Amino acid sequence: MSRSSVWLRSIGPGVVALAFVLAACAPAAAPAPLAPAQQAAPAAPARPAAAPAAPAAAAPKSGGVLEIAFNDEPANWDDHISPLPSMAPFAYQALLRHNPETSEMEPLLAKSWEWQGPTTLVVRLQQGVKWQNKPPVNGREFTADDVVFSIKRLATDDARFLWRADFQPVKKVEAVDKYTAKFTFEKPFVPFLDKLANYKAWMGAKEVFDQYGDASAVIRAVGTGPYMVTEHRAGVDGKAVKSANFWMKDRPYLDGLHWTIINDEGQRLAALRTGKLHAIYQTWGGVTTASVRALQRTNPDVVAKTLAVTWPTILVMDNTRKPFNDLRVRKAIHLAIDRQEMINVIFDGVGHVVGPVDWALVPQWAISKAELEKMPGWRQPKDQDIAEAKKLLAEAGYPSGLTIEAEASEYYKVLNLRPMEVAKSQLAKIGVTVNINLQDQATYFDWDNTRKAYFRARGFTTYPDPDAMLFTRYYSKGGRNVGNYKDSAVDDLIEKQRSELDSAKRKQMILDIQKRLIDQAPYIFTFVEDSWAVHQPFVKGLVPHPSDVFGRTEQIWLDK
Amino acid sequence: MTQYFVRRLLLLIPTVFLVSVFVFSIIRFFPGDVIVVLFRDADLTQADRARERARLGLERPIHEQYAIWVASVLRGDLGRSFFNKQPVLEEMKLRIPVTAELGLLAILFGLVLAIPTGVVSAVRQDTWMDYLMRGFSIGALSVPGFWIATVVIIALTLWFRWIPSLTYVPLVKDPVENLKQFLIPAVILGISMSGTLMRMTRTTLLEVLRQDYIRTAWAKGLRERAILGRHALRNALIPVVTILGVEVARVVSASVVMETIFDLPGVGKYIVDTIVVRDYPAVQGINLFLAVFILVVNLLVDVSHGYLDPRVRFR
Repeated sequence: MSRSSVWLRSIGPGVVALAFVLAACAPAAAPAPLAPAQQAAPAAPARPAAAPAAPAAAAPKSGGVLEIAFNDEPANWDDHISPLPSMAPFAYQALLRHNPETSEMEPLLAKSWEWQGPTTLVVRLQQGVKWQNKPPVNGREFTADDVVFSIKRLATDDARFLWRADFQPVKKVEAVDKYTAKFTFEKPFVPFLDKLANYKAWMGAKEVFDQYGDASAVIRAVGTGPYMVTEHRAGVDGKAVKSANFWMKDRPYLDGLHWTIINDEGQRLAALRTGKLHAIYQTWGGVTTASVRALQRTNPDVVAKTLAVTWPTILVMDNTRKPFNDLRVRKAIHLAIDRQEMINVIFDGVGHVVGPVDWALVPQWAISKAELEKMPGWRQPKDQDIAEAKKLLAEAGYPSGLTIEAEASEYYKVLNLRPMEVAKSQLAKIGVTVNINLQDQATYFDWDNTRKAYFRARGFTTYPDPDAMLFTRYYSKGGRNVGNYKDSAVDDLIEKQRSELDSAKRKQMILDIQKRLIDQAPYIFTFVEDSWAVHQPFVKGLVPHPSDVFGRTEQIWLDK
Repeated sequence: MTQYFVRRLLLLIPTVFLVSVFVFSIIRFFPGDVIVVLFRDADLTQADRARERARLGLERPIHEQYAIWVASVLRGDLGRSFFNKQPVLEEMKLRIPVTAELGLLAILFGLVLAIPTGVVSAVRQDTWMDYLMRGFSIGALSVPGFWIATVVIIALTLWFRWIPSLTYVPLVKDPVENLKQFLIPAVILGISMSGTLMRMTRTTLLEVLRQDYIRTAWAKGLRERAILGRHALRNALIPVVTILGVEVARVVSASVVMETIFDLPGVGKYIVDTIVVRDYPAVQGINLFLAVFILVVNLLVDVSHGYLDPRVRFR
């Protein structure tokens, strides 16, 4: 055998294989560089256009089935219990809802309401509203008795009912007549209307819960909403059809909708590109900024909107344990964190910095953007903040820096792991070494619930009215005060603002709370990701609001 | 042979028992409390946790929980998912056909690709065809299936504006739509599997082709086709059948990625989802089923040796 054939035999297959391996390992074709306009950090998030009942450009068309995707199947479709968004806005309705432009309260199942004194709220219901025609409710009329049942259920003193703190201040709820419900409180509870407008505070029919115990299986859903769930395959898909006895005239426009569970973001985008999906909602990382940019290059007609969401990302520290029990250490960390850099790195600039209350969501309650950006911690450039941070650490006894343990999880990593990774690099500038311990989902939530966690980035779900955040997160006895923060002055103000009927005084109290929180730095307030809602150009009337995940579902229509 | 088969069957019992103990206990030793995952974001006190654990039967001693579970398994009841409350058996009935179809198609494609290429590679040893086939097989082994899958999805989307159906369509309902959904992931899985099978086929065939009886066959003037088809291939495929048993297990684990990327509601994806959230009944049920399935497949593979190779004597 010749030497050349020996060489060929030896290396030939290897060369061919190497070609495959190199092909496998070669970086993907670099995406086309962003045009300069796209590279600049966007301004404050564009609010969705106001949602008229019928768009001026074309009259809405009836018919068609809306194809949407969730990235995960909710473990429990009963929103009174489950923290995750579900089909609630399609099948169910609450008494009120937020205006997508102003976040102000608007009637829904409640036609009108009035405060009769500081502790009594009377709500008058729409008349002629029917439940969906499905057993065991079978299309009967929605009445004040249903309101009484639903509110009592929401207030159930059981840890499973996530929103009970919002409804337990109701001392008594009663049906005055068929269409009037009266709420009586121990003391004035001003944010209550906001709680009633939470899409998860939907009205449920007693017959369903008597028969099934809960609404955890979506196929059991019977609401007053525009769409009735008819099919469901767990982890796969589900269908809802237009409710024949929906109470809003000439609504909904669609014949129905079909949702699919698609875990993989690439698959969701592929489905949107090929027209198999009509819309991807912003919920829980539905689509990232990088994906939207890529999508817009291949499908320039796709509509992509950003909107502020109700879950700011906050760095949580255990205020009771070293070194975070030292105010100087917390303030040093607060000063060192560069919020805008976090937004630029993680979300390609699509987001905005926040304080304890989000100025973009509720400007009427928050420290203004202009004022916030001048404050230490938020001001740019960071040189002065870094110098002050180092000085504080030295005063606290850490002149050479310190090491802190942190936890993170791949679960919704853009709100969790990624901010912690960026924080790690930023804190290194002041001599703080962060050891990130990666945990799986179950361990992560376990540590959260048992308050074992030291330092982590976390999304805090909230409502437009700041009471939700203040009372649950910053109040010392708040159900989700995961940083174990306790301050009697803040507690006092939080309690008082709940009962303050004068909105100017209430606003001042809320501003004072925010300033004290910034001063004490129990948490590091960072940013809100401006989330994306992406849909085909023929989908009309889709106007999501942060507190109403899917928008006014009865006015969505397909222009094809 | 019958004695051997019965003995192997009886050996399955302690093996399955050990597997059941393992799958039952391992998930309970993972950190993270299923109650917390179930009621994520709820502010659970110790009393709440204790009450919920009692509701799920988790407050009993572990050996008692195991005994209750085994008793129900023997009755055909794998329990109910902690999360969606559906019977685990019903969930599996929906998912097993998906993974089975994917696996079968993948194995079929893998064999169709691997055996002819292995034969050609062996028969045309040291030629450009041999080098090409071997290079391809190494490529099939080295390139990750998930990478190929992602590239395929992107290529289909960008060039053809098409992807398979988003939701699972059962074969009996619409075979064409079903095959459109399954063909691509099955081919990708099959390619991945074909690397090992091809190389094994080539190696064993080369060995067989060097045997004296093959030399005799050549000397007698038999044609290549007859030598390969009647004498060599059958003997060369015995080790390939053995490898196939191992590949079946690998297909199940590889199906996790394909089911996720192509959105197929199969067992692989289900098992990952349930492990992440510590859905004990589902994890136990699926793992037990898969373990028994793989044990049975390997038993059948071992037994099939007796038919393929008359020299094998079972003792």
